[in-house]
Amino acid sequence: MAKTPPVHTTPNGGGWVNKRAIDLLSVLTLLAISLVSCTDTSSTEPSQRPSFSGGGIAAPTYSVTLTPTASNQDVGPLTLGDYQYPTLGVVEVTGILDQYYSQATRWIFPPPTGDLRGTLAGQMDAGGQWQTSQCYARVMVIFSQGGGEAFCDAYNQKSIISVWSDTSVMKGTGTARWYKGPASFSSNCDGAGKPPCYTYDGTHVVTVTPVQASLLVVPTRYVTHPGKSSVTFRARRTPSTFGSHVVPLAVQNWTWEPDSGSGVGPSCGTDTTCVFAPVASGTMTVTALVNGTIQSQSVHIRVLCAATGRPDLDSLPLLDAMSAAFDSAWNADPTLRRERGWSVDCLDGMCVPMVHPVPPGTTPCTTLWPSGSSTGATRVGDGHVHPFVPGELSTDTLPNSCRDPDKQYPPGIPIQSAAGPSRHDRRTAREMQLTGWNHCIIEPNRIHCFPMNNPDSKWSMPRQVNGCTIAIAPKDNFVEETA
Amino acid sequence: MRSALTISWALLLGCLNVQAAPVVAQASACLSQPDSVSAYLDMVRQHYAYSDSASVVSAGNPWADTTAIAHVTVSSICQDAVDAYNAALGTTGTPQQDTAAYVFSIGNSGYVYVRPGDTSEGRQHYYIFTASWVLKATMLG
Repeated sequence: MAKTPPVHTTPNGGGWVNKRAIDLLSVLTLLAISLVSCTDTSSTEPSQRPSFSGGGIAAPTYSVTLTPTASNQDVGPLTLGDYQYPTLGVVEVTGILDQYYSQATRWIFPPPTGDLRGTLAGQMDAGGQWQTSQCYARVMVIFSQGGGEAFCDAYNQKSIISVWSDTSVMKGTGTARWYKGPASFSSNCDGAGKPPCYTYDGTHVVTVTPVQASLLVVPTRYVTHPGKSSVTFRARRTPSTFGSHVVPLAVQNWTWEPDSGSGVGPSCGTDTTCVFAPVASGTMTVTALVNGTIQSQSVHIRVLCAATGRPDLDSLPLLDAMSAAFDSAWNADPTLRRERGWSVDCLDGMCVPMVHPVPPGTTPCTTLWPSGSSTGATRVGDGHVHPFVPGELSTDTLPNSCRDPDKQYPPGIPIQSAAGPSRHDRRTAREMQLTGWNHCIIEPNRIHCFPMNNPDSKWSMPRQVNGCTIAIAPKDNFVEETA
Repeated sequence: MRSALTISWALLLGCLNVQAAPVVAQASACLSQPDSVSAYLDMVRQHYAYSDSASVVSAGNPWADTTAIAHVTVSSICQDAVDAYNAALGTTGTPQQDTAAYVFSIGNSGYVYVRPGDTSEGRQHYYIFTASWVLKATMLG
């Protein structure tokens, strides 16, 4: 019961601050993927792209400031923070100390050197100073259960640099310490009861910044049929490495949630790979420790009905378009249902399933037919929805808006939808004089298809066979909605 | 005599002429334009082929297997259909009343009535009657 004439239509249709930014990016990325929604027509997979809803998540960043004042006095250890799980991150120290000769009398020299006390002796960075096989006046970061960094300018081969950094896998409570120095070999300073040999001005700011890493779950296929081989799910993280280190990943568990009802899930323990053969559509979720944070990631697997032998009903982009069209057309309230047109156009091997917008003035019983394919693309299928159960009078009586205003109706008599393509549907198909694809009409319980150039050569199939409903949107089963 | 005979023939012919009018008025109420019959029959059969019989029957509507759906050519049945339609719409005896229609039997459980000239650009209307000519529904197709 579609309305002419065909018109052109358009497709429908520290680090927490950083974390928010990444999350926003992830949302925008997902949105872009959803809008494109291209599907390879030659295959039944994939229908989805991996989802990245976790974004880049990082364990907390910690920072402390070390303020050395004298060469004979350690600073710290000062507590940075705690990493409960192995966490790969960057340990960084910024700042250069100005080193002054102290007030010790050893710095009083005969001319021409003279009295050096209180004058600038030089500078000291986090790597400190190499003396007798070790570094002094340097910064050390240590974690109680492993990891950290002891900065050292071995053999004094580096010039003064303001930033020292390295990567480390850290666990436990982290502390930062400035190790006093340089070592003194004078009895005049740095000894017990003696003044320091040097004094310092400046700070070392110690920061540990975990690497932002995201959990991924990647299945070998997103769409499967009953009886097809198992789906292998792999838990991954991105990035997988940072510097010379592997980003820690430890799977906690795998869970399977069917779209409806209950079902037996996998027994994959804490393996990073899970092999599972779903018998119905559902969502696989992996929970894992990824670089110190517990993350979960899910992927939806569609289990299609058994192949029908009808290419229109076994081709994923067409099924996607049909299910989306029906989903958007259906409403428990009959007055809010709308016939929706759909189409699938392909170009260069990529196909775009589209649900066409509801034109103004349409009713639950009328819509505009999908126009022909857009320029350059090849139409592989189209159709529209009849969102009423034919012949059903108890729940699916047609709303009054379906009545033709120029006709009289027997008072008190309900109007109902006829099954299958209307005479008008067939007439419209003939008048469009297009060929090369089928037009399919989706009813709640059946799908009717006919070649555009021969609408009398129609065929029809029930949507539900052996408990499996063809072309129904995941997680949005209309049967459940109306129950 | 000649005049009398002439008059008698005239009277006879007049009687015949008078009697000819009811013959025209009693032309079949069954419309039978072949293309329309074929198209409507196809639609009606399609509807019953793809409808859920349980839902249809539970609502008290006629239902039959598609092989038992046929075009009605018995004028008395079509006249009953026309009368029932006019009564349901309140057009009996008015200029808007139907005098003939396409009628299809749904086995022996009811009938589908299609008005002549209902070929609007929109939807075709099919009126579903029980076997006792109770209008149960208007079907759009």
